[in-house]
Amino acid sequence: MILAILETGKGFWEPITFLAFALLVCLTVFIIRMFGRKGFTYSKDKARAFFSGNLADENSRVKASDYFWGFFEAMKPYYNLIMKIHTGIINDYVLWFVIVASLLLIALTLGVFQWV
Amino acid sequence: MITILQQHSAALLVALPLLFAFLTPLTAKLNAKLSKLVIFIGLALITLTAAIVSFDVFSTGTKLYVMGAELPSVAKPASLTIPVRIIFEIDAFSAFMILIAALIAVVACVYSLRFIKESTSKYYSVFFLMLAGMFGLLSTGDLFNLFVFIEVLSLASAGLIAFRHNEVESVEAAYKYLIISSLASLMILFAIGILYGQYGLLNIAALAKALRFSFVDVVALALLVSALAMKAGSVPMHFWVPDAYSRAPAAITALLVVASQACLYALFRISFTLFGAFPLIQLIAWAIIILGLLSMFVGVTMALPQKDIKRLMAYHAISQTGYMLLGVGLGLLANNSAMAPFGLKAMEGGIFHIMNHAMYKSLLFLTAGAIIYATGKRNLDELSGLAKKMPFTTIFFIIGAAAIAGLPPTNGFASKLLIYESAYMFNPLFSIIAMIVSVLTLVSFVKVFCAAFLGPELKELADVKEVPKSMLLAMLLLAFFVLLFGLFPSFVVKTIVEPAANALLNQAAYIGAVL
Repeated sequence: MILAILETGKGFWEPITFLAFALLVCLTVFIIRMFGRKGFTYSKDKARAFFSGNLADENSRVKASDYFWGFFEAMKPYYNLIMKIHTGIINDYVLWFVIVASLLLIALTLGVFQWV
Repeated sequence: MITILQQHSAALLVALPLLFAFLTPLTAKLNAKLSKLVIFIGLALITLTAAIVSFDVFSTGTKLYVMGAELPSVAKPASLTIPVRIIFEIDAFSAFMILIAALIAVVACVYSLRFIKESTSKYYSVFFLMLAGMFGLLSTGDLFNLFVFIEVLSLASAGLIAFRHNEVESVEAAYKYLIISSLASLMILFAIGILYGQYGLLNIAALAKALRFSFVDVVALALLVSALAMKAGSVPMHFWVPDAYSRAPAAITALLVVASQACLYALFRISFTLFGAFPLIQLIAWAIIILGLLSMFVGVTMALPQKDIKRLMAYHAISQTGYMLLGVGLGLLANNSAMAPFGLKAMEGGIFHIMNHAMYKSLLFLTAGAIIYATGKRNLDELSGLAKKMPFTTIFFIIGAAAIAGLPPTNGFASKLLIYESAYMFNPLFSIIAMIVSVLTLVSFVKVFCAAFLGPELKELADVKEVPKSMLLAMLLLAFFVLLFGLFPSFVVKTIVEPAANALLNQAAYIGAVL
């Protein structure tokens, strides 16, 4: 039972097989690595990080706010709208509750009258 | 002793946290070490009770506990036709939620050992109060007590959100949470009043049998659904979530995730059990599905531009709530129809996701807490190169991020796969949206990983060290369950998720246990 396959309705999922396959891939990678140059010694110079051809220092890192700027540019109209909604004002929070409760009530009322 | 514990476990589940909420500050006045011992004894007893209750329910079926009755299992005296006493009714769905709450409570407590340095007795006192509200909400079979326990839970949560009361943002977040919770509680009370006024009943099972689905009942239903959806943090009533989750201490944020899920439980209990026979329940199912889809998409797209690490994770919590709403909403939509087998699978996915989400989201919040603890910074722009300084936290973050993004072989993948496949049978668009949201979730966590853990080390973070062992232990425990449930999902689904989904669908069994 513990190792049983998870039935998903139309298919199935067997994580142990997946894990076995992943281990096989790791083993293959390890074997390929063994064919690498012998006698390689690690030194700090060999492991230096470069950023656009320049030696990376703490000023040349990519900050979190710089990530995916293209995505945000493309989605600007959406973000302008969605940011405008997130006002941080508690009155607006309550207003959204009133809107949802009213819409739900209207939908249910129409449904009830149709049903009756 | 064990027999008494077993017989009265349902009542003890609420009584013990209440007792220790009172004892903790009292013993702290006498001796600080004694107070810590009391906290551990309390937590151990509460966890043991939760385990006994859950084991009992999963092995023997729905557990009934009637307060003040000669025999706790007799719902009503022979002379009466309706149940009048306070009744706890714990079915497999309740037991499932109790297990989650108990696990996260233990983890949060272990994490808090070193994380919380000041006012510990006050902290643990309100912590136990929060547990009392949560366990009561998950156990009660009575609508009015449902309201009372939501109130207890909300007040305790607000207290803990404002725990760092010298930070203005924490107080503001707690204030907003309190206003929203009060509004939700007021609407719930109003709805209960409507139902009580008509039927003179408060017991959920008795009410479910008596409901005639008049227009006034429909008003009560609309109020209950919208108020509980707001408490669960569903879009577009989610605005309090990023405020509260990001400002509460990390261990409390983990418990807040479960508190929101407890409100989700109440929403499902109302939809499936109380109004399960409502001829227009499909309208509610569609409302839940739409709220779910909105939560998924808006949550993840709002998470992407965030720079505050906990605020980003809070928006992801909203997004993940959407998966649960979608899965269980589809189950409600398909109930008693030709699509019922797919509906059941969707429900299993949604319910399994509740458990998985509690684990990986708590893990992620704890890693965020660890970063803030070690660096004193929460802005991702000010973080870099932490992987070398905090290797264990980095590994736990990777596990949590993989799970929330639904990468195999984590638990998040298993529950999301159940939702994708069953949702596809209803409408391929549901699955497509769910998968796009998963991809965006991965993208968002890649950003956090690259920004905080990779990159060059910063001079101002030169002295950063790995967090204390107790915090690592709490994260290790959650990471272990994330992987365990991911590797053996079938065992978890068959043992606890399937009974929980069936219990939620079987309205007649819930009513039959009382009447």
